[in-house]
Amino acid sequence: MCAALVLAGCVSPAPDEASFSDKAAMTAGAAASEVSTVRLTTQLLLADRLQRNYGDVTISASEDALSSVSQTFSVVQPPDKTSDAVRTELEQLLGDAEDAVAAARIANRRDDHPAMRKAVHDLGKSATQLQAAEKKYG
Amino acid sequence: MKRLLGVMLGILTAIGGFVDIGDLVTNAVVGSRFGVSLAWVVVVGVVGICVFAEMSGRVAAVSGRGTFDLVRERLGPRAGLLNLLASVAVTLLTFIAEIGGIALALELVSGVNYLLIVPFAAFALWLILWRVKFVAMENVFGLAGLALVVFAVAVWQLGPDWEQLLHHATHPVVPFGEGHPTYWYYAIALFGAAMTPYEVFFFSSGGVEEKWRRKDLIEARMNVFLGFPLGGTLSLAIMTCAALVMLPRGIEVTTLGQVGLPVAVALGKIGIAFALVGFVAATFGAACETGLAVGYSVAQFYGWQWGKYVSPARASRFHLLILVSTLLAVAVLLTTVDPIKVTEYSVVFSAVALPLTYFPILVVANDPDYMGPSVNGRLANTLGVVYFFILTVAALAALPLMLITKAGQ
Repeated sequence: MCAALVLAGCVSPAPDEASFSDKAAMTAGAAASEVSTVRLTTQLLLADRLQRNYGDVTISASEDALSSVSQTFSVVQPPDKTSDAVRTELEQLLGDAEDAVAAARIANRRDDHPAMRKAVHDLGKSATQLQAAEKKYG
Repeated sequence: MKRLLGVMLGILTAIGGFVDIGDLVTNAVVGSRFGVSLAWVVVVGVVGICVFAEMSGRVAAVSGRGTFDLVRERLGPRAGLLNLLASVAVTLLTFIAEIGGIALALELVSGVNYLLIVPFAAFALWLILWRVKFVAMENVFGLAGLALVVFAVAVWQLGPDWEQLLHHATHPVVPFGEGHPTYWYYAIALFGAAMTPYEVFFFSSGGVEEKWRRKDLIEARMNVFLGFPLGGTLSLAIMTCAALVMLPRGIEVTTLGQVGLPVAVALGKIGIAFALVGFVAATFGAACETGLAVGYSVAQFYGWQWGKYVSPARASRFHLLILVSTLLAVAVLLTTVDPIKVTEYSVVFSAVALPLTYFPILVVANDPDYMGPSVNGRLANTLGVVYFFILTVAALAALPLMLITKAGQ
């Protein structure tokens, strides 16, 4: 059981461009999922359809997950120059996503409705870009 | 009238007690990634747990002996011990996941980090297992677990295209972007979540504790054949909610908070309040069952005094085992291991371990010398053998699929 858990949990290196691209697509998909979660949660909080504690915990969990996804990708070695471009582009998108999620968390905790509405817009844009990146690299 | 009320109560607690953290997480994950294309697995799993629970309940009523008492008798001490170790390891993993689930659910209620809640939740659980009566424990958590019906109400409120939903469920295809190995990996996970072994250890050991006789089998069968399928519909409702709300938004469920969001979309704060009651009751109830199942399994195997109907002083080793298991669960969770990941692994390993306890029960239930007139009939035997084949295939495929798909990534 332990061996299976360890093997299943291992992160494999990216020895060529194709596998680096696959990792980039997977990262973009996972990040888009977390950004969309924060967007949906913020929309529910704005509409007063969700308890504040519930929303706060859900957003914090997504923020942590996004940060983990971003960090995991940042340590993958790009094998060539083409992969460098992919890395730069995706890291920019991930940075934007982290900023948008942090802004949403701050706005939600302050119950600042105009800032929450702006966050919903920014998160939507970020999620769309990440989903496009997932398709592009996948 | 009193008997009818007892039967009703039994069925209601079976419905409410069916769903645990494994069902909550796995059904939501599957719904958010595969829509309802794996709904058929829940149906297969629910029929399987009915077959297994009915057989083990019947064996318990006829023999008055628990599952691992029979495992040792049929397999001998060495093979039986290996069986015990594998089954207890999986039940312990499930126990850890359930305590983690309680803490995650209470975190959603209070906003307090789940790691701070874990020791208090574990202490409350141990106190309940030590002091609270079996029937009270079963009824309170089972009935409170019925709050999860809110997921079924949410599906109705979301107003899906029922024809299209039914078409997707009955014509399953692997969605674009997902591979066949991942589809089958989650099929096994869902199957393991529906057929978790502890449910059967708990059910049959409860039967021994309550001193079931042949005449009690009608009530036990009603609990199984009505309660479990209706509990299974709650699993389908959780999956459908995720399929309707999360899948179109590209959200892959990875936290307990995400599991409840479709309810908020459909029903708002009141819906979420019901969902939270359901989360806490389902995980607390299942934690009680898994904690007891660990104690039942080991105590039955070694012939120790066991049970909730016996005073702790007389069943000291049984209660010590529960206490040690609880402390171990707390220690594991405080390493900051993700309880949702533990849950995902526990349901897959449940599928791996299932044939180990299923096979001896199938053999005993087919033994006319042992069972007398309550031996397996033609239908029970056919279903029993078919399910043994399904369980074996799922158990053999689970680990290779886990490695190939990197645990469903």
